[in-house]
Amino acid sequence: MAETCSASICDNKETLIFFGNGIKTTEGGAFDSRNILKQYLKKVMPEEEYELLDFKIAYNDTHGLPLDLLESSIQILSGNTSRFWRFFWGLEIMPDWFADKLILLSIALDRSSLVTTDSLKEHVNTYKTKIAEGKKVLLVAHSQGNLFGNQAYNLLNSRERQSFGMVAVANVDHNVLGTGSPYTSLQNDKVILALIAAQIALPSKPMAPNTENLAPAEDFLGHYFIQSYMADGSISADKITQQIITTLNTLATPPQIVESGVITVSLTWGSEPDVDLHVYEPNGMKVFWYNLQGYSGAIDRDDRSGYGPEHYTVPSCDTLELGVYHVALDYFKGDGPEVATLQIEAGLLVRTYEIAMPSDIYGSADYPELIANILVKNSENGGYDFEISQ
Amino acid sequence: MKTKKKILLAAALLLLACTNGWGGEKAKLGPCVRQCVQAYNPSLADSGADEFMAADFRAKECVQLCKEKLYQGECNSSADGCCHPEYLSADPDCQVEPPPEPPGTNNLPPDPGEAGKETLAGIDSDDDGIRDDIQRYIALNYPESGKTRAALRQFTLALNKAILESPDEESALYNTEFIHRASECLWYIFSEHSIQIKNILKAEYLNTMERSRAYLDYNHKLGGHVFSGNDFDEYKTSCTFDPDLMED
Repeated sequence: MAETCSASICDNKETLIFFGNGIKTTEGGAFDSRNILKQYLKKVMPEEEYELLDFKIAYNDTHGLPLDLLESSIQILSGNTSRFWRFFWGLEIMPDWFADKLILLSIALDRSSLVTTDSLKEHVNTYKTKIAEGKKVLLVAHSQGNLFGNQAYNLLNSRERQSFGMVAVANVDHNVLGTGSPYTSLQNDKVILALIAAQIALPSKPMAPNTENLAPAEDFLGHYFIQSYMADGSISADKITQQIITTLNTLATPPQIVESGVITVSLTWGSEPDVDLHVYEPNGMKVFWYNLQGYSGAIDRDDRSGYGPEHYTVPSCDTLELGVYHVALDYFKGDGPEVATLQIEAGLLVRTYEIAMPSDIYGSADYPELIANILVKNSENGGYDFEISQ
Repeated sequence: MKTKKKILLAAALLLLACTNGWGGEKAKLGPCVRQCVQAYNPSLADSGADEFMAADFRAKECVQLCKEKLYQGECNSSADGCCHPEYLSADPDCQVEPPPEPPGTNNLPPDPGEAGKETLAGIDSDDDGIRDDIQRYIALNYPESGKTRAALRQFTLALNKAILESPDEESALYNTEFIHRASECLWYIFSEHSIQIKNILKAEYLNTMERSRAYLDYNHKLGGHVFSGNDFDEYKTSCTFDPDLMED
């Protein structure tokens, strides 16, 4: 895939802002929501502070809501699926019946089944890795994205939590990282109001609306991130933006445990004593516990006492090589089956692999098991293109 | 004088009875005159035209009226060299000369209609990688903007890959990068207005249940993953063409 290693990839950003979507947001909507956030912050922040921010998407599955809505609407729409999507994406005014179905489906979803540790693995690994690289992490969570954000926070250790923040928007949960703020929920958000009404007696009911926009939103539900909460010039958009800036200032800068870079490979595992990371660089150099320094990158954290992480980094585009970086594992020492998690970042790409290792005969120091390849090529734009394959 | 009035009245009635249509301009003069004259004198039998196509009648106003195309012609719904406006889809004469395409739409494939909805991939008769209906949508809705058409074509090609070539999570993740680069390119050209332009196109694209389900299936494979992106000032490099070289 054409992944240009442009200036931003080679830059070392200090803070990462993630957008975490709700279950009514398809991936394209999450992309646009992140861009709207970027645009607002670019407008209001001093340039030198904005330049230190990197923006990513922590994408949450829609859990079948759009499909259920489509299937329950299609007869009324006489089979016109394009019309369905125009309603769903706010291109046409949503009729009452459509809004009612959407709200009912939102309420009917079992929140306990929405968020599982498995569905959060890559998000949490990324938060942990970035914090280990010495970066602050802020999640802007919308709707059910708050449930995912709160659960991810529970999976961080106490040191990591000091550098992780969340700004809640249309919060369907009853807290924000265990506290009461910061959050923004609109008075006319029909989804939030319906959820509160449905869970009125439950302690888990959503936090009460606390914001009112002067101008009516284009979004009939009053719930969509872009059309309602980040509507241009709205009170809620200003409030959310300020909450992001304020929260960023409260986060602790974590100590840097591993290097960040244009390629990073992070290995973690369970309770067994030792799993080893091996990287074969394009120049032929093998980088592992016995040879920590390569020509292109280095293993800057080697763990021989359990849990990991082990971490390999190509620190900058200056030492990046064309060709293939082979990533391999050796289950060096242990008494039983083990599961390793390997997270690779190359350019704009992020891939996470879970590797089940039945015993410590999985790989060896001389012949580790190949897990993934990172291909680096020249791009047409003068930078680099990356591909990660298994 | 009385006769002339009757002829004019008959012609006017015929004119009212006919529907305007591009096929009407190709009406033959003979049938036109015949019907005009017959309307003037219904008692005349249509026995082969000799009687009422006699010089006496040909010289009357019917000929002139028909020449001036005030009368749209008498057409059959079968092949008679004249398009019957009420049988546009069945009359072979209506099929021979389609209406001219709007400016800038030369070489567009024909509208595939319902046949284009029968499969997930649809019909791509010119093999340009984009379904004919979407190719036409882009060309007909943005005839004045080459860079918009180019950006939407890039986006459609990416959407094709995502929907048609994402059988597993790995391929879905791979194809999402194409979608993101295409979305960045659109954002470079239109900023936040690209959201609406992109979504309207996607709604057009997802015009069947099969396509909608395939899109949601692809979308489902992305759940739990993290995505990065370029900085705003690098979005131009996400275009597979140079938008700045296009004036519009």
